[in-house]
Amino acid sequence: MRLYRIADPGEGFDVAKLTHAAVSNPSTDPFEHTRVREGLGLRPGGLGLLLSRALVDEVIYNEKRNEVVLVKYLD
Amino acid sequence: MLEITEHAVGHVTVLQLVGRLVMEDGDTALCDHVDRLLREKRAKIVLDLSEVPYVDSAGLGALVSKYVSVRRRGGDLRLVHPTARTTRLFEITKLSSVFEVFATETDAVKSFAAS
Repeated sequence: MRLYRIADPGEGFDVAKLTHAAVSNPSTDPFEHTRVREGLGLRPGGLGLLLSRALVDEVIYNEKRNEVVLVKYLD
Repeated sequence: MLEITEHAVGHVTVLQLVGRLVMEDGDTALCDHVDRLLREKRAKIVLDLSEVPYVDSAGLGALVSKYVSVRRRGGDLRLVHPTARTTRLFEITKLSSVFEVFATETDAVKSFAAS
């Protein structure tokens, strides 16, 4: 097993406000986050969380969501 | 650094990408290049990814963003021979059901005539 703990001094984030991330897309529209990002003037992107969740076995946040533990089982 | 070379086959523009498509190295270059093509009304685009060994989330974001932009202008962005690693990224993000992928440039260019 591999564990990675990543922490930053930021304020954390609210899952309900992640409309600019692909993880929030409805199943019927894989590009909704792209339009949200364009409207907010954000650079192209928004796929990091989606990729992380698919590539590791567990993604565990603290309550504030400014720390995360990524768990990958090797066996 | 990502290198992009361009050539036209009829009304289709083929972009050959060589190098990594990652944040601050490739993602911006690709976006800028496609944006220029769109300003020139060239919206039938083939991206040859056979020599792109690595794509990160920012690079994938650039592909998605430009795909949306091109489609919005009545065109399409089709892909040639992504590596196995890149193909897996498409599968993980469910983009494999969105992007049209071809084994060769010839097939990709011909697909525009058929559509």
